[in-house]
Parts: sequence; C-alpha cells; structure tokens
Amino acid sequence: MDHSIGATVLPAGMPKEALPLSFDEAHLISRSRDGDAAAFGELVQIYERRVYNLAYRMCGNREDAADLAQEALVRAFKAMRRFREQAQFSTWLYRIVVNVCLDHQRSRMRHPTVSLDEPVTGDDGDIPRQVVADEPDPSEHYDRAETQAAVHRAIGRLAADHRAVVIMRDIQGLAYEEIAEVLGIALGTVKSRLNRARMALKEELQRAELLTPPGVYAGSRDVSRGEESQR
Amino acid sequence: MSCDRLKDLLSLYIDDKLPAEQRRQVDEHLAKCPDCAAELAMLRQAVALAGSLDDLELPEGFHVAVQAKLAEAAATANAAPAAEAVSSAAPGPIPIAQGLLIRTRTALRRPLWRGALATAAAVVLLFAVVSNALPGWNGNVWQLLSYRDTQLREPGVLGGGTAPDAGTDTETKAPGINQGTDAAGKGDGTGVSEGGDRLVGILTDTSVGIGNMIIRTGTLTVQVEKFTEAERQVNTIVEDAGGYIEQSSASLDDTIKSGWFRIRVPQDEFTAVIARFEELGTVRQKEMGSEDVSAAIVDTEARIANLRRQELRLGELLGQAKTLDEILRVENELNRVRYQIESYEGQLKYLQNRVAMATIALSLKEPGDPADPPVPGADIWRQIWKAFVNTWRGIGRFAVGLVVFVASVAPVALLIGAAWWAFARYRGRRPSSGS
Repeated sequence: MDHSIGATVLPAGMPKEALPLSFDEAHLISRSRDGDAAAFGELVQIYERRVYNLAYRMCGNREDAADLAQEALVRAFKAMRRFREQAQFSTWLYRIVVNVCLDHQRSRMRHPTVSLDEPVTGDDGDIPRQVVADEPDPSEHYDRAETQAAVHRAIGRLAADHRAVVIMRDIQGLAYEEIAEVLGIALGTVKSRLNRARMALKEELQRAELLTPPGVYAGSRDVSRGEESQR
Repeated sequence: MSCDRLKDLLSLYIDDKLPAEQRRQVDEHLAKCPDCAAELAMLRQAVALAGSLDDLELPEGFHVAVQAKLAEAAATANAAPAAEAVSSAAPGPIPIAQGLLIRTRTALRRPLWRGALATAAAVVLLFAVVSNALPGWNGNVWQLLSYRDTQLREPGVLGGGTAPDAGTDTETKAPGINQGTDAAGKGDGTGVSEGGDRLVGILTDTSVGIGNMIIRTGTLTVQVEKFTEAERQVNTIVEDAGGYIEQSSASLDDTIKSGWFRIRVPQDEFTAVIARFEELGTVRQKEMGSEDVSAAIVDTEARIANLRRQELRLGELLGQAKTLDEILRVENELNRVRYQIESYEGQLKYLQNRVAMATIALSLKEPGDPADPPVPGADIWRQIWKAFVNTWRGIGRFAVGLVVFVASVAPVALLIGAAWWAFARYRGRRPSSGS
C-alpha cells in the first residue's frame, strides 16, 4: 500500500525499492534543468499517467484533466531551473499539479457546479488488476464500473483540500511524508486533515448508500476487495 | 478515552500509524463501544472503496501534445542561452549544427533575428523531441543536434536509445520532411536564409517523415464500354503499380455487366493509379480522402516502449519473487502488460499497413445501367418511345405472367375439382342408399 509515486505502475503491495531503475532518472533530471525538452519529455513519460490521474480525480472530468495535466507538466518544465536536488522530483511535480488544479478550481468558483457526474466507464481495460478472491462473475464487471463512478463522484463532492489528501493517500498510495512535502504542510496537519477528509468521504459514501452497515456486514457483498480490513 | 477523541485517531489507526500506547487504548475502547466499532468498520470500507478506483489510461494524443508543448516552451526559453553556450572560435571542419549557430550568433545582436531563430529552434526541438519519443531512430538526430554534450547522450544511456546506425535505415525510407514544418522554416527564416536552409537541410536528411504518416483513400466510379476488357486493364494497372486486389465482385450474367474492386496500391503510386483508372472510361463519381495518423502512431509507439520497460521490470521482479502469492501477482501483472503490448502492436501494424498501402474502391459499369440518372437534355422522343415500349413490355410481361400463373394453378384446381366431384357424387348416392 505504501508504494510511492516514483514508479510507473506497480502491482499492489510492491515496494518501489524492489524495482531496478532501467535508466538514469537523475541524469534526465539534470539535463532537464539545463532546459533540455527532450530529456524532460522522457522523464515525464514515467509520471504522466499518474499526473493525469491525479488531475482527473482532482477536477472530476477527463477533458479538464488532460488540459490541466499538460499545463502542469509544461509549468514544471519551465520551473525546472528552480528545482532543488534535495527534494524528491515526484513530490515536487505533484505539488505543481495540485496547485494547477486548485488554481483551476478557484478560477471556476463563480460556476461551482463542477461536472463530476461523468460516468466512469470501464474503458481502461485493466479492471482485473486487483486480486479477486472468488471467481469473478460477469455482473461484477458492471457493478464495479458503477461503484467506481459513484465513488468518484463522492470524492468530487469533498472540499478541495480534503479531496487532495484522500486522492494522494488512498488512491495513489503516497506516504504521509510525501503528502506533507507535496502540500507544503506539517506532518501533523496531514494526519488530522486526512482524518477529517476520510470522515467526510465516509459521510458521502454513506449518503450514496455504498457502505454496508456493520450489522449486515458479514456475508454481504464484499466492498473491500483486495484490501483486507483486518491488520 | 472519549468517543470524540477516538474518532480523531481512527484514520491513523487504520493506517497503523499510532504509537503502541495509543493503539492499545483505541483497541480497548473499541472492544466495549459498538458505536465506535461500527464507525471504524464504515471508515475502513470508505478507504477501501477509494483505494479500489482504477487509474485511467492516458487519452489519445496526450503524450504527443505534451511533447509539442514542451518543445514550444523550450524554444522560447532556450534560444538565447543555447547560442551563447557555443564558442565562436572553432576552426577547421565543424559540425553542421554548430556552424549554423556560430553563423547566426552574429545576427542575434539584431532583435529581428531572434524571433526567426526562436522559430527555427522550435522546429529543431519539436523534431528532436518527437524523434526521441520514437524508439529506434533518435540516435542520428541527436548526434547532429546535441552540440553541447554529445558524449552524455550515448546510445543506450536512455531507455529508448539505440545504436546510431539506426538512422541510416530511416534516411532511406523517409524521402522528405513534414511539409508543414518545411514551409514554416522557410517562411519565417527568410532573414536567416543561409542558416534557415541549413537547418531544413539537416532535418531533411535525418528525419523520418513524421508528417507523412497519412492514410489515403479514393473512391471512383467509372463507366466503361466493355466491362471484361476494363477488368483486364484494371488487373494490369494494379500489377504494374505493385499493388493487389483485396476484394472484388462482378455480375456478368446481366446484359449490363458491372463490378467493383477494393484495391491496395503502394502510397506513392496512388495518384498515378487513380489517373490510369480515370482513363478507362467516363468518371461518374470520384472521392478522395486522407487521414493523418502520425500522432496516433507516435502515441502507440510510445505506449509500447513504456510497456516494454514495465515488462522488463516485472520480469526482473519475477526472478526475485519468493512466495507463491508474489509470483502469482507479478505474473498476473505481466500477463496484463503483455496483452496490452500485443494489442498496441496490432494497432500499430494495422496503421502502418494502411499508411504504406493506399486503398481505392473502384466501381466499373457498362452504360445503360438503370441506376444511371437520365442524361439531361436527352431526346424527348426517345424518352417517349422508351416509355411507350416499356408499357407494352409491361403488358406483355403481365400477359405472360397470367398464363404462367394459370398454368401453375391448374394442377391444384384439377385436384380440388376432382375432390369436389367425388364428394358431390358421394352425397348424391348416399340418400338413395339410405332409403
């Protein structure tokens, strides 16, 4: 769960450290700082999907997500000269993406109805990525797409700062320390904000009737797929 | 511990981030407070639901758009510093790109040139970036363009890097540069004519015609005097052009023969073949189309390169996996990645095939086809005569049809008549036999 954002797509539970880097990221970073667009372009290949997904969850719809992700990447490239080596590149990049998304939302405050009702169709053919315990039945696929859309909408209804921490922690699996660095806030603030954000998410999901009350929990449909509740 | 205080800690409790002492207190409270336990269960479900959201794939064209925007940004920011970085005193044979920059450097002092150079640099960088996104042919471009630290960008250092001689291969199959860029380079570079031409020269030599990834299609209907004769000619034309007939159909039984062909010919022969088809007879209908698939191809190739990298990493991970569960998970992921690679490669092959071979839908008809619209201004008496004859023919056809109908009904009528006659006789005899 604690895999960080440094790698492309990791199987659930794989630590980033387990991955041998097949090319020299540091080298690309240093060339990018010299204004080498090609090097930055290559560097970006590692992150662009995550950047796009972060923007998607932040702003709610695909069109804005593509625009915002691209804008963030270009801004990052322009700001590369100011990137300090001691910072982690991924968190630095994330910070820019989050800021771009928040700016975008602020600029749209006059029209607060952000289109969050876009259905999440199962078009990214990797739905079976999760390890499913039981034999999957065909109806589950539909169920799953529907549930995903509803959860996506619930996240969209959260306050922006709550949304940001939930996305980074629970969807993208960043460590607390990384989130603190991305948002430029203290670790303690991350903890309390995450707590409030998760509570708010719980309320939203409850309202959307996506949570099973514990009384009927045993034997009902397993909403915690892949993630064991007991630690 | 109060319930309110506990609720502040649940999130950390779920992530197992509480110090041992606090954790124990939470456990104790949960054991005796069903409300808080329920709260925890719900929160866990919420967190798990958020975690079950799948990542979206990047939208089509995203990667290319990013690279283009980066190149643009680099061009505006980099033009001046890049020129300053080159030393002006370089005697003897100098690399082309370096020579170009030295020559334009003196010009840089006048502000007018800066815009022109920025545009030229944008062109170079765009190509450099796009070329980099295409694995397999970035070596040569970079040898010419990275004037600052060629030694750093050795092939193999980067993921997509290949041997420098990969460039020779691309030279042969890329006759020219993207026309749009070519025009832009020349149009904006009038001031730096020498440098500008040089620049275009470099790119013409090394770039794959990325703007040439165009699917061409044509639809043609030709009216011919003799279908069979025209069909033979079509075969010859297609063979001459090095193409083939993908599918064809002909109706030869009718008095008016016609047929259609779906023909694939090499891209370069497309125009010539269309022209030869037009000579077969009178062109009745013609439609030409083209679709630029460069972006789709670059995108797909980038995706494949990315997935190959993942595949490699997963392969290495598989070697390190210890437990059965780990192995299964990695293999699951590996299968998924390989499946995606295959499907993208299929897409790529399809696109490349469509680009290499243009498609022509040719339809041949002999004159007099009833589907042909009447020629305007045609002889009115002929039309009246035709209508008159047609009506007579219709009456004739009706008469024949009637005779045929009667003939076909006759056996049934005979049978029914016989049955009725037999029945009538039976009825007629019965009262007499009963009395």
